[in-house]
Formats: sequence, structure tokens, C-alpha cells
Amino acid sequence: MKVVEAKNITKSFTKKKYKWPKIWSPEKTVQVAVDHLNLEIEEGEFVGFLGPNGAGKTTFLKILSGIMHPDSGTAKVLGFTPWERKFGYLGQMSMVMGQKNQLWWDLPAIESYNMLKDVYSIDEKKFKDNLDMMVEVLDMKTLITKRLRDMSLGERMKCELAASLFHDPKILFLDEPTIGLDVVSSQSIRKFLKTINKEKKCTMILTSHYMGDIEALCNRVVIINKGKKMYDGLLTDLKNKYAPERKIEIFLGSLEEKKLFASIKAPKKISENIGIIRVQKDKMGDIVTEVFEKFEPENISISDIDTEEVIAKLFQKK
Amino acid sequence: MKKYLKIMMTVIRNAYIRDSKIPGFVMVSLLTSMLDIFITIVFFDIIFSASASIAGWSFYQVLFLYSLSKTITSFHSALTKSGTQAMAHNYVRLGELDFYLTKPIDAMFLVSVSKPKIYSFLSMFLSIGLGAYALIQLGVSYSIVNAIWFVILALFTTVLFYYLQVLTIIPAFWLLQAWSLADTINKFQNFMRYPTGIFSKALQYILTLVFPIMTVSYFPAKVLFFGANLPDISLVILVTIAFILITRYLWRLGERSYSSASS
Repeated sequence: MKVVEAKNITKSFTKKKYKWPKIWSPEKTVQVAVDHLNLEIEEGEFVGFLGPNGAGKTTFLKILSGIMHPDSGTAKVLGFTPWERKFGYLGQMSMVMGQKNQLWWDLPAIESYNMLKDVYSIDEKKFKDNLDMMVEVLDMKTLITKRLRDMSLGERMKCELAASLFHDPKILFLDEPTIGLDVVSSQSIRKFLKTINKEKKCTMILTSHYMGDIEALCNRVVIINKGKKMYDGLLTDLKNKYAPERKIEIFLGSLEEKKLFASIKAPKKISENIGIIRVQKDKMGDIVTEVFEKFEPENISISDIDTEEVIAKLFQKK
Repeated sequence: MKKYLKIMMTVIRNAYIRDSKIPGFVMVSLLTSMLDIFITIVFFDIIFSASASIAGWSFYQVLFLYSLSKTITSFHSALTKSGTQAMAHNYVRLGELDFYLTKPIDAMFLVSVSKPKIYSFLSMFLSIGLGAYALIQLGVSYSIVNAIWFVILALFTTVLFYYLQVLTIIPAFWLLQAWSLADTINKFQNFMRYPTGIFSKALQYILTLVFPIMTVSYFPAKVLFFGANLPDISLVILVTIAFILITRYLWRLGERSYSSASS
């Protein structure tokens, strides 16, 4: 079942500059944020939105969540036109913004949760069950009675995430939920999101600048730039298409090993005692055999090209 | 309606939890409110030392008018004023309105009750006490019909004041940085404490129909003191309904043009 169906969504922002004496005819600069974007998302998908700053990711998310009206185009999310903001729709969706709080700053999180319980008309049992589950999965037993302003950024984000899920939304929009978080907090939030996506079949759309988030959570990625869609598909397909090679890294502890590395006939370089060889996936066999013959196995690692690099290649090609 | 009342109760409870930790702040606010009432009484005393009545209203009638206006404004100060002011300050400019727009509840209501200052209820109770004192001092008996119409019209104008308050900050949707809008309603509040007769006809027309801030306190008090009549009752009801519709329409327009803030 399709949860999101967006066709030709366009949104632009007009900036006006008023200059004396032409105060009645200001200079207008039109910036297209989203440019005829089409998107379909199936129920339960976890889709990553990627793109540079100002690409239009957040604007598109805000249109789908009903916060903004587009200039043109049509969209149905859970069967509703989002920007009509019908309560039937708003009661089934949720949004988390990494840089903004929806909870009361001077109150313990639990008091804000009680308020959300009323806003979403959540019955007592469901609220209690969900609260117990969040407390356990997000390890926030001591957090919910702590005032928001006394929490660390990571703790706050855990509470914000929990707040967005009490009403069991069918779709969750996540705008950079791990921004500014340390590795441990990020991992805990990723784990939580994965659990909710799997267990509650909640469709999730994530924008993030951290490739780690996208790689850990999303099978499908949509890459946009200047409001236009550049890629929509599986992350693995993206890598195969734009970086059909793998990276072999060898720790070179001695001059002898560096000489041996130099003798390998393949594109290579050395960076801080690490020899790096890039090989087409279909030509891996010979090189790998040679590498393992010449070096100790514990000094060798084979991996895919970094996703950041793949995306940089995609932007270069387009 | 039940849902909205429930939310309102939770908002008040949450505000109590928050404010009970800072009793000093509450005391200062209470003292400021008492000072405001004291200064106004002194001011009225000066005016009435030179004249037995203003526009046909005696000292205690004007004092009652003032207490009614203060009761209504304090009620909104406790529940809705800071939230609507925050629209002009931050919500539109910083994109904080986003969260209010994604909740299955009227966004205008949720914004309005987002920053309650429940200690203003103390000021409201003081004003009610002042009003009761003025009525006792007037020493006249009031007909039940007039008293009922007074209560009904006061409820209407309490709603009217809320919508006028919201109306003044709606331009923030387009102007973004519109801090001074937050203070607009305060500038007009002073008109609420006088009978309309002291103003010119043009100003009376503007302040009872175009921006009906005087309607909020004057007509309910007039009905109580001088008797209920159809033109006054109709005017209050129609003006209130008209401003509810106008404000809600403009708010919807504002929502349509809301562009949030960049992440």
C-alpha cells in the first residue's frame, strides 16, 4: 500500500528587497526550493533523504507533513492532502526536528507527555503501554521526571522522539534527528528507530547529514539537489552504479611492506602507513589473492567505498 | 469541546508545576497588579474630584467598568496572551510554529495556550473583588434580567477580546519580524476602562465596530447599569461573531503563506 504519493511538487520562496525610493516595487529574488518532485513510498519503508544544504529536503518534508503549502503539485499521504491539515491526518503522523523542541522547557518530560496524551486523545492504557516501552527501549527511566532544560542534547532528543510516538503514528518525518549528538546517543536513537519501524510498521522518512544514519537505517535513498530528484533507489544499487569498486586497505608497518605494496599492479595510494587499492568488483579475485599472499591477513581490510564519496561522484557526474 | 477543556486543564496544571518553583516571581507580579489598580483608583479620584460624573457615569460605575476590563484582560493574560505574543516574537520567525501545525487540534488555540502565566489569575480575582466592591458602594439593586444579560455579554466579550488579541498578531505570518505587534493589544486596552461617551463620535464608531476594543467592557457594564436593550445586545453578539469569522479567516490565510524557517 502506498503511504506517500507526491506528484510534481514545486515550492519556491520569494525574497523582497525594499530600496528607497522604489519602496512600492521591491526587488524580488525567487529561489526554487522544490522543483517538480515526484515520490512514492510504500507502507513500512524507511527512506533516507540526502542532499547538500539548501537542496530542498526539509522543505519537501514540511510540505508532506502539512506545515507548508506547495506552489503547485498534488500529494496524498495516508490518503490525505497534507496541507489541508485534516485532524484525521495529523493524528496519524508525527514529526521530529533535531534542532527544535516541542516539549516544555521548564517541565519534566512526563508532564509534556500528559499534555500530548490529551492532544492526541490517547487512552490511558495505550499511553501507559507506550510509555513503558519507550522507557525500556530508550533507557529513559530517570529521564522522564527530569526537566528538559536540565537534560543533555542526547537525552532531550530521546524524550522528543518518545513524544512523537505515543499516538502510534503511521508515518514519521525525521529531520536530522541525530544532529549534534555523540556516537553513543546516535547509535541508541538509530536502534530505537529501527525497532519502531520494524515492530510498528511505521513508515519513516529521514533527512540527515550523517551518512551513518542513512546507512544504518535506510535501504532506499532519495537524493535531491536544488529541489530536483537526482536518484531514487536502493543504497546498494547507488553504490554499484556510481562506485562499482571496493577498497582494500593494508597496514604497511615497514619499508619492506611498502615496497611490496608498490609492486601490486592496480590503482593505489599510501596515506599515513595505510596502502589503499581501489578495485572493480568483478576484478577483485586476482588482486585479493595477491594481497593475501604478500601481507598478513590481520593487516588487511576490504570494504565498500564510503557513501559520502559515492554521492560526491553522483553530483560530479550530473 | 471536552478535549479542549481537558487540554486547558493540563496546561494550567503544567503552568502551576512550573511557576510554583518561583514564588518570588509570582509575588512581584501580584504586587505590580495591585500597584496598577491603586494608581488607576488614584487617577479616577483626581478626575472625579473635578466632576461628579463622566459621560453620565459615576465614580463607582467607572470603577466597575475598569474592574471588568481588568478581569477580562487578566483572564487572557493568564491563559492566552503570552502565547499569542510569542507568535509575533518567535513562532513564525524561528519556525517554532511547525509543531503547533502538526497537531490534531486547532493551531490557534494551541499557540494561544502555549505560554500560560497562571499567576495573572490572582490579578483577575483582585479585579473581581474590586468590581464587587464598586457594586456594593453603588448601593442599587439590579434586575435579574440585566444581571443575566451582563453575564452573557461579558462571556461574549471575553471571547471577542481573545479574537482581537489574535487579530493584532496575524500580520506576523507575513512580516516575520513583527515584535511590536505583540504589544498592540496593550496599547488599546486603556480604552476599555472608560465609557464611550467621553470620546468623539468617530472614535466611538471605530472603537466599537472597526476595532471593537471598547465593546469588550462598555456594553456588558452598560446593560447592567442602564438596562438590557436589543440594539446593545445585538451589537455585542454580531460584532463578536463577525470578529471570530474575520480572525479565523485571516489566520487560515496566514497559515497558507507560512514558510517556516530554514533548518
